[in-house]
Amino acid sequence: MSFPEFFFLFPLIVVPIIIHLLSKKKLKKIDFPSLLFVFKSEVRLIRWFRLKDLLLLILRVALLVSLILTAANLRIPFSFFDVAETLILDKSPSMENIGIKDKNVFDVPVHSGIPQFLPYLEKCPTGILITDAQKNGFTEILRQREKFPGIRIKKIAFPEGNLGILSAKSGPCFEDGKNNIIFEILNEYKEDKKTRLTLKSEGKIVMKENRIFKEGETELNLELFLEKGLHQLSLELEDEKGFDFDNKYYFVLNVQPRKKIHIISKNYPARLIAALNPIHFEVTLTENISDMKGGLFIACDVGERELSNLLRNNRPGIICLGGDENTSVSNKIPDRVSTVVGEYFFSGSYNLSFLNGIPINYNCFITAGEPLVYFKSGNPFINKIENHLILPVSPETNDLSLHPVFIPLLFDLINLLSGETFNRNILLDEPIIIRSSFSPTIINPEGGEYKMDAVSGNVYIFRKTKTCGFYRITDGMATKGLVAVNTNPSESKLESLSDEEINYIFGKIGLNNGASFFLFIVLMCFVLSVFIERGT
Amino acid sequence: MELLQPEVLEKISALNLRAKIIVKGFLTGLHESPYHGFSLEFKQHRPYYQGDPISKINWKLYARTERFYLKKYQAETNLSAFLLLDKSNSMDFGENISKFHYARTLAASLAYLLLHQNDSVGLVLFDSKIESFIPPRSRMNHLKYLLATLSKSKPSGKTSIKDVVFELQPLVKKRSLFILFSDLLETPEEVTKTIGIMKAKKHEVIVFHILDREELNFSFRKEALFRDMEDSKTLLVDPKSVKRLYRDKFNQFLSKYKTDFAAKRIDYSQVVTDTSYDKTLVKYLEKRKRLS
Repeated sequence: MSFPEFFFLFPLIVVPIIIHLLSKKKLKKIDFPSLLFVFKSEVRLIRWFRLKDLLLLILRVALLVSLILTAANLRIPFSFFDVAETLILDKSPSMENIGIKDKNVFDVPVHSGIPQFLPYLEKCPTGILITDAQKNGFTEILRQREKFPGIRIKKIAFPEGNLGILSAKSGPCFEDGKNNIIFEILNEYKEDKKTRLTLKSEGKIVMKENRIFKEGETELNLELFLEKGLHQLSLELEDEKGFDFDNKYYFVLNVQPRKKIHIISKNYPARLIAALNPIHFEVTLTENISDMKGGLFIACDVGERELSNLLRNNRPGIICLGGDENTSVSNKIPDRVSTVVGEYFFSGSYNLSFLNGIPINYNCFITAGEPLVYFKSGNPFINKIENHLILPVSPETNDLSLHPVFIPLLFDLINLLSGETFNRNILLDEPIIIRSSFSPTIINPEGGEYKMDAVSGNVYIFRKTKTCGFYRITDGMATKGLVAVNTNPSESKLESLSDEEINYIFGKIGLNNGASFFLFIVLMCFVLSVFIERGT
Repeated sequence: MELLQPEVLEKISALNLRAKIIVKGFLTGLHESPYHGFSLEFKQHRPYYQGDPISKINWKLYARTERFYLKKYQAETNLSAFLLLDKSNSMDFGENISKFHYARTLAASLAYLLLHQNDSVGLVLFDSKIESFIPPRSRMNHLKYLLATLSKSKPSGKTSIKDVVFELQPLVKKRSLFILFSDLLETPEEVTKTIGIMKAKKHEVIVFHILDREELNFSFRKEALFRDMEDSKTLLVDPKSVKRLYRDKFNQFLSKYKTDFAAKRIDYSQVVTDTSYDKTLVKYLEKRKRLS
């Protein structure tokens, strides 16, 4: 690879020229008693001096130019030294794809004799990694990159393009209902691409269908009907000929049963009822909390008298405080708009980072309980008192309920009150961090068991997420949660090899690394200039 | 004797003090007084000390005083010496001490020494002509005058010993000792011929050929524009390439003087400016002994 940005140093070559011109004027003068004995060599000397000065100037300029070309690593059309450079080859199945001139991208370097370099990798930590940068097969090689920082990683793109799953998103999933999963797709094809989709749950195929991806289409929406409980799912993409893109995406769904929700409201609970879709919840309007049988409650616009009544009973529920009066857990303040901050994990699995930066109008300051999420001002937004969650806003009267984050927030709060679960999707090498009341054990995809390290209090961390797949969180007896680990989607977006580099690797033009050649020229120029200046 | 190194003495600015240090230091280092044997005129008695020769004891005085005394004699001389100092521009060469400075200090020291021996000393400063002529006197007061003249002198002009000698001839009528301090950068044949003429006129001549170490070695490194100090001609020279040739020619030049002066029985010494003054003075004394 060349670094032409070093060419900006070229103006430096004027420096020796200026020095040459200046030194020409500054010839040293020596007063000597008599020139009776030195006069004969004059003519020859003048000629030699002029030639010597010119030679020195040429050598110094050449030295500088060569230095710049060394730094720029300019390519040369011949081999000067045998430069030890290792080519590392991705041998994952995706490399079998038919590529240039009916050869697959794996075969081309293989037949050029490249694998013979591989045993020397330890001795020669510089090189070029040839890969199609498909995610799963590429992971191990990427990890090696840390050991060999000199290795340049380049992608050989398929002639037609590349296809892969970058991420998956879903809302809360419930039994007996249609659950939507939205996948973000990397689609480099310049035409419609026929593919096969294979969805597996616990290793068993639950869905297989053909699908055509149109040019520029980057989203895939799947509708799933699943039983309640934790599901380990993977989605695989193949092309119509059955070619595996190396692209299996793992994700976890926690399908929940329909819950009973009791709404205690003095005013108009329509928004709240709309948010709590009857497909997912059994919604009941209740006047008196003592009438509740099972489930949890959501109390709106709660004042002082109702609050003490609600806190006294041990049924789980969400209490949304009204702004009319001070309560035992809040102080009334004039209506205030503040921004929600903080990426707060609670109960291990719930990540309320989607609330970050959301402006919310609130009308009281909560003074009791354990704060879970804060406003930017430092005031608590969600507090937990035993099995009650306290909010300083009311969904009936506050604009929070109009905001897009309201429904996910509500669902997450209901999940939080329903019990501990840990289901998340993370990236490879990212640590699993959970907050748990018990001492958890991790079981990796290969079945290895690891005790998680406690960081502080009830926060636990597991750093060894070195393999893609599902990591189970257990209390030693039963599975309490699942974490799906996938490769970083940015790996599939590696820069493709330039034409020059492809030619270099496959020997079409055969340009070689010029740095050593130019360094040799630098040394030669230096030695010659010293020899001419001193030796003659 | 370290004190007599030219580099050390150069730090003393007063020429008379320099000359005094050189001569005193020089005399201290000698085992035998150079005054002995020149005269027999009685000056005074001095007590006998262990080690003095018994033959020198004045026995008559011993008979009168019953103490041992030795007779001391005052030297008596009719030697008239001229110090001929070349003050041409070429004598101004030298990195630490110029040839002129060295020759001037040497001349001052000799003047001091000669006057203490009651010899008459005169001074001639010259380049292509005589710039100063001080006739010889033997009084100690004369030393101040000589040293003052030497101190004031500065290098200038071009050397021509032949012209100077012809100019000097009518001024010197008495048979004299000429001590010449010069770098002799002239044609050797002409210089030796001129000095030979002086010798033929029964004068004694001692030639101190003053040289700088750099002149002998020619150890310059980088090419430079060399300027002749006497005629201001310039020459672009690469010292490394001409060094060997220069040394050969310069050695030939020195050898020529050596053989020519030896043939004419003229005392000739090559003195490099880093030589301590006492060594040079010894050469003079050897000559002085022969004269006595």
